Amino acid sequence: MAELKLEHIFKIYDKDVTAVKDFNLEIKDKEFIVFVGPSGCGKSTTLRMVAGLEEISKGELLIDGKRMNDVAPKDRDIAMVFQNYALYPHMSVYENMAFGLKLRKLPKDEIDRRVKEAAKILDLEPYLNRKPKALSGGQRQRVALGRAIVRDARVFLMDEPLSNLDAKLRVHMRAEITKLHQRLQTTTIYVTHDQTEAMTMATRLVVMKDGIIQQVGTPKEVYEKPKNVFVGGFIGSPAMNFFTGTLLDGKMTIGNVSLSIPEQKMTYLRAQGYVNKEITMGIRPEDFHTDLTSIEASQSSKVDVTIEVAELLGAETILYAQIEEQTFISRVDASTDAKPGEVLTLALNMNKAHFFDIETEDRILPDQD
Amino acid sequence: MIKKLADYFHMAFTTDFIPEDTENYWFQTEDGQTFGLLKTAITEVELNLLRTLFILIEDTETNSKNTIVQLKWQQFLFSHSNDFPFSEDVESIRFFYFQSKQPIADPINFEEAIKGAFQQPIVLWINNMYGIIIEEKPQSIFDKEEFIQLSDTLTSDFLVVIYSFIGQLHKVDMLLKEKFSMEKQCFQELLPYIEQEKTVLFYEAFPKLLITSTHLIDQKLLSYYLIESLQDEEMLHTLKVFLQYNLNASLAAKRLHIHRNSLQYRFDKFINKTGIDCREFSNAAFLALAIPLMTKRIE
Repeated sequence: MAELKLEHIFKIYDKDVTAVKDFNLEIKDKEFIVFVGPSGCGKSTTLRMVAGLEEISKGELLIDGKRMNDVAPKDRDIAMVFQNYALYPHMSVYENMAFGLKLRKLPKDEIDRRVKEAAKILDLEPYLNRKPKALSGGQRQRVALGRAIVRDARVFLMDEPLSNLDAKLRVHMRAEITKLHQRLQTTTIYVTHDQTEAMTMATRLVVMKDGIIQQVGTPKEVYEKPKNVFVGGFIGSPAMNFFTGTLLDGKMTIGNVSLSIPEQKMTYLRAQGYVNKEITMGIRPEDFHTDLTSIEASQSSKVDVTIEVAELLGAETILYAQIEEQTFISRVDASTDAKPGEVLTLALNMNKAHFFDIETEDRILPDQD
Repeated sequence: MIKKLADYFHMAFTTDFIPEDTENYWFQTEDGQTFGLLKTAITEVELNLLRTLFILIEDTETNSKNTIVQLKWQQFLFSHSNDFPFSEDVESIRFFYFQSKQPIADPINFEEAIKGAFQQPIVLWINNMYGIIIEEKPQSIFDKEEFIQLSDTLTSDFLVVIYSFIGQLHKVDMLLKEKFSMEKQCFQELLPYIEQEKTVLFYEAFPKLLITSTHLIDQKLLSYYLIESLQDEEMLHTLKVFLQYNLNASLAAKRLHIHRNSLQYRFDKFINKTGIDCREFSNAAFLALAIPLMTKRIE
């Protein structure tokens, strides 16, 4: 078990390409931290710096209070799982899992005990004598996890371990890894570009962009109070809708559409000097409603729109429409009978609206809002 | 430095490497040169000093238990020996050059780990961070994806990043030594690029070589199989037309007045011989550059 501290970490290539900028993070023992962000945001580079596979250009990495910058990867007591199934084709499942322990010169009976225990945890007992070729994708990925588990390392580092699996298997393995973490309680850093994976698995999320941390928080915090437009748009599927408009006293106006802002939010926006200024409003697809009760209760925050596309997903319907030429997506109840071309009234839950500075793109409302 | 050592140790210095020899300490330089010093002629302090500057082959043998085959290869590639280290049934060979930034702690298990990914691999260690895998009787087409997976597997066990350069498919003959030496030089010069990509094939790297290392661009660098194939006028014309028609097999077949299957047959023949799949963009780009280099001589 381990606590990690990343203090002012930088990764600079060739003096002028900065892949990771001033990365600061404290990871508590037993946490499942997920680094999430688009390709090239520096998440894998950060993970590899923790592993020691990439040199830290500036800053300090501490594991359990001990500086690790100059400690060889093999002495950091970490175990890694990669995107690839990472198995030796000529070795059986047992040999694949035992190989890392053999390298560490563990006694044979201890290797046997650990491999069998991991095989039991991962339901791999019937396959111990099989070669990787004779396993399904999911089983192979379980073996790859088993290879990390047997190491009994202080920290697990997982670099997009599920991205090679098909969608169905990915959902299944997601749950498997979460269960595994609950059982083993090993401090884990997990890298993914899939925000669903990040939201469902993390104790805390670290959202990254261009090598910079955008926000650190629990999935709920990040979803409900995104620090900026990027986080708001990246976390959540379908993504948050953004509208540019002018903030008048008590109202957000988008062209000819005017939407009332709840007084509590308005007081803060007023105090921050945003009245009569352009502002970005963010609203999640599920905060549009089509039921009569909501529409009646939102007389000053409803809008009539022409539906462009309606996608019935079974339990819900995704509607594409525009407010003053700004396209948005809403997720409404499947009972909503909307067809392309039809005009529909949508009520916006303005209590859930987010406001961002148009220049800095930072969240305006306070965190406790 | 080697010359100075030869002058200093004079009679006790030799470069004629004998693998089974026990009278000399055998050292290897970073660029693979081997030299021996008579055990009775050097002090313990001198030995320790030399150990810090060069690789004492004895040390690597203890670590990786060099087999006779490994030693024969070492002798063939790095010293003046012209004795073929391979058996008669070996016709072709491929070299894999690999390097890591940290020492690979356990060479024996490293060799064990890579076994399944190659046909009869032989590993030569230049030092504990740099080595060459020799694959005897390799498959014509190299599966890069599988190799990348193997690299990740090795990283998860040995906790080092492996940077690899995959050489051409070579014919086993006396020219092999020269081809190896040139390819090895390419690996060294391309290392900054290889460190970015992690795994690079010779064909992919060729355009880069044209920009960064023009002194290495020579017909001699190309594998014998490729040279021989391009000397076949029909094959050369086929490839030229295929490139000219933007890798469109149907158009190229039409232009060549042959059936598409006949064109496919020629490609298969070329792939089997050279390991180059001209339908792949990187390989085709390599051919587009290699053909003028080759035909320069023919013309």
